[in-house]
Amino acid sequence: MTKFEILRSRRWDGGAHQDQLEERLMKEFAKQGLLVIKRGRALLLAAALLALGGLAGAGTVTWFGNVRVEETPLGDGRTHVRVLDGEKEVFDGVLEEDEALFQIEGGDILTVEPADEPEKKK
Amino acid sequence: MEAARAVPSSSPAVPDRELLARAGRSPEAFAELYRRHYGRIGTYLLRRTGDRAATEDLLAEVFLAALRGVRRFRWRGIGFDHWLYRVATRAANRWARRRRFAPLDAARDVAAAARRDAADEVTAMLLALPPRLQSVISLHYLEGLPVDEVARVLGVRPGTVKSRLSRARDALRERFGGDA
Repeated sequence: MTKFEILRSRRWDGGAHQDQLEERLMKEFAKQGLLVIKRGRALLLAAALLALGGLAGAGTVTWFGNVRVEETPLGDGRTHVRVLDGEKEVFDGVLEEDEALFQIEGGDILTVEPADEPEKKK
Repeated sequence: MEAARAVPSSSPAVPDRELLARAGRSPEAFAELYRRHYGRIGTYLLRRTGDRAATEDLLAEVFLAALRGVRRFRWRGIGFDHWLYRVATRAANRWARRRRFAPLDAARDVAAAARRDAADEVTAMLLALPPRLQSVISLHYLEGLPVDEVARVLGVRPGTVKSRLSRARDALRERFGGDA
């Protein structure tokens, strides 16, 4: 066996380190999740203000940068929503009356339940 | 010097791609990706550094970077495992550069030399090379990635990988003769 082959046969056995690092990553994940929720709430608020601003019927608005949102009310309280990033469609779906749309990190689009709506200012 | 053959991992029930789509929002999906790749990236870093403590630190660096970047990851040219290799390579290169300028500790070096085995000797030989040459030798000969995959990991052309491999082999022969 050459020296290179001996080095090649060396394997990492993380032992306790693997569990400790996983625990640390999960804590970081939770922190990031909180940040995302906060940012999401801010964007949700922006979307709500946008809606109050007169998008009562069908229409297209530019949301952020190249991102355009097309909304078509379906007449039963639901709305058909398409989101386009430039020419690329990144979301196409029907939102219930109490759902809203927000964007996370420029690529990840989620619908949210009313429970996730921004808290009212005290 | 022969390239190692990459050992294909058994195909997981849920592909990386699917887990990645959820990993930005699901801690379970991210944890599964972590468990899946921890050993392979740890082995790469251990072979690069020859140092258990450094491997632990660099693993933390790599997976924290993965956590921060997972929402932005897009499948463009390289898979998640190769992206992790890229992050790990950068971390290992930074570590190797810092190590070169670390103050000498004669007592520690003597103690380390006494414990050194054949694998440590090869690691020491590799660490004598510039980090960019260490990367290509490690990824190709130790991790078993073909030249085109090494090129994708490093973001360079295959021709560049071949020329770096040639320079690295020459440098090892020149410095260490028959031991290389």
